[in-house]
Amino acid sequence: MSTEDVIFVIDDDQNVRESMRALLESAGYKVKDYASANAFLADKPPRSGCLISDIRMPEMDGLELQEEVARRGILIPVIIMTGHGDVPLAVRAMKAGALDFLEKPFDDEAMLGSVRRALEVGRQKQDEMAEARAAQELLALLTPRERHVLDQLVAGRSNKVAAYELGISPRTIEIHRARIMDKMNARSLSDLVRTALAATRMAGGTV
Amino acid sequence: MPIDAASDALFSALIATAVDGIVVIDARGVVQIYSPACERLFGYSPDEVIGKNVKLLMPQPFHGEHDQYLANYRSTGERRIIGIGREVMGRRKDLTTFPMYLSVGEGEVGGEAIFVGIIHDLSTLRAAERNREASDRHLANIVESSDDIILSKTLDGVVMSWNAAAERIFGYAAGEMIGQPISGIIPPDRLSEEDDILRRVRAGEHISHYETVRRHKDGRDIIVSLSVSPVRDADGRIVGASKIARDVTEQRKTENKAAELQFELLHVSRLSAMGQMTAAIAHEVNQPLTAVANYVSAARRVISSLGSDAAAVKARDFMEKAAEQALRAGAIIRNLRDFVEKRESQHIPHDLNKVVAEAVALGLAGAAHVDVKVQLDLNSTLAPVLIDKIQIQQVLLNLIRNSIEAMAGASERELVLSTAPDGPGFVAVTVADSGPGLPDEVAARLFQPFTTTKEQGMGIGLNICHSIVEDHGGRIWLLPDVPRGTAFRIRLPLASHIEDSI
Repeated sequence: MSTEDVIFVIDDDQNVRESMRALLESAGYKVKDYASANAFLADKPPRSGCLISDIRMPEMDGLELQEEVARRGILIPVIIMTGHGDVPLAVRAMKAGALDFLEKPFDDEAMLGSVRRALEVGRQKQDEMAEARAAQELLALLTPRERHVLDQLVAGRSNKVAAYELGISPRTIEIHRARIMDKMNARSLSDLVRTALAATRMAGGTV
Repeated sequence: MPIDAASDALFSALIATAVDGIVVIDARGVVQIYSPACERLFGYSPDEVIGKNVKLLMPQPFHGEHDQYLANYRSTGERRIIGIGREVMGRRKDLTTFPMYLSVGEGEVGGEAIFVGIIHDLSTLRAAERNREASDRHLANIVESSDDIILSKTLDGVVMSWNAAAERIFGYAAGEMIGQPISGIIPPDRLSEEDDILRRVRAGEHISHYETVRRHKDGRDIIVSLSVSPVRDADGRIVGASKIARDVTEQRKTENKAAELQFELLHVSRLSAMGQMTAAIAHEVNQPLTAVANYVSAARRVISSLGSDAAAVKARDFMEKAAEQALRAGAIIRNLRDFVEKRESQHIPHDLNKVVAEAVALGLAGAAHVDVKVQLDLNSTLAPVLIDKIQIQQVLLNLIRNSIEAMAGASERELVLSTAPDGPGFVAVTVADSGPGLPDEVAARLFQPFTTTKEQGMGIGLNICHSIVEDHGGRIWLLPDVPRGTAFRIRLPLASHIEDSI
């Protein structure tokens, strides 16, 4: 558990909100709570952590909040809380990429387990994004010709085939390949391919 | 001045003023006297008749036989009409005939026999009789062709007339009932009712639109609406009762069915209102329960962090129990809601066709504004199925409403429900529409929860249908490769099939 992980709790019911703070803080998390989706959106956008939102709220409901968070490109896992009658809405939330939904009242371990999973998924996503960003920065160092050669290698072509495809000699391919490996800090071909793929992975909005 | 009975003036006056015609002939049949009244009757003037044979005034066969008749009388004295009088036909100048009463007297003048005929015209009387007969026949035709039962009975309740509608509706021929007591068509528990009716009729009372039950020859009860009136004789004495009755059995059945459907609909809407209320309560109560569970769990963790002396352990244990109880309260609310949604099922043998027809009526109840053509193709030979009617109707309703919604934008909106045997021990009902059909990816996941094509849909309708049908030992599936729209088939086991397997 990282001390930087902040759990954002959004519920229009003050008692639910404060009890959520009590529960999450007792488990060692930092908590920020908001009485409405708009209050959350008005605050500084979070860089990590997880968002726990009630689904049925006045003004903006949990589902709209989820959509807005995605639209703004905020990378944060969302857990939806629901009263029993809100099942259809919860389904839409899941379809829209919510990580979990919990029916009120819930077992503390169910909620804390869900939070742990969300943070883990969030961290993974953050790592992937960091990796993708780093890989993209490395890719930017390559010349257009080197990019073409790299594409051939990522597609699994041998030097010979790549040479034929690009109309250059296998020897030239080998020279390009060595330079690419060097620029991208790759120790092996598989290392190179992994980095190249990471760079092309597009991160979605919500996790 | 005293009248001289022998005067010619009196004689002439008699002949001239007699309203009935007077004809005097001689023994050979030659007309001697032909009164003015005769001119009106026959159309001949005296000149045309006097001195001619009287047969001129007679149609055949009298015309041909009269001479012979007179000759016969002269020789044998045998009388057919003389001194007697009878109804015969006269012939006018224009050769038309008319009925008349002819009385003939015989006399003698100057040694010669004469016959005096007095002619009374019967044509007006006969015409009146014909009219009365025609109007009687007309009335009889009305009575016979009436769709309503028309019968009459004596004050003792003995049937006097019985029309065709009575034969048709009660199953007894007129010959079987006329002369018999009307009590034959009255259920035993209603016999006193007939006594009461007859008592009121005797008192001159008219009874209208009295609804009661009568019994068909085959024992089945018929609901009739009666009107009973006294029948009076020429002197105004009440001698019997006439009864007009209408068979309202089908009408009452239809009304009852409509009332039943309405009740059912009410039941369904009451259930859904209860469901909504329960959902609202569940939401309201779940909020504080959530807070309780959270606080208690938080407290337990805080106490755990304080240490592990006996008191802390005990407090932690209590907190755990308190959290469990909060969750239990939540579970109770959930169960309550589930109970309202899915009440106990009651599996009873039902006629599937009736269940289908009612579901269609219910399904269309809220969809009168969408112009959907509904076709029922029901197999009448189906044995009963063992089902919870409300649940199966919920399934059908769901499919029907889905179809109606799916066809909202279609140019052709046709809903076809059919029933048929489906292998040994099963029957099937098919709900087919002419809508746009389902995309393959939706069709593949159709009965999984949370699959929906609807903007507002929750995607649990077909999932519930699926579990209801499975619960009945049946199966529901989407028919592949239908020529148009979507077709669902539900297979249900026959009651006999289930009993066999128990």
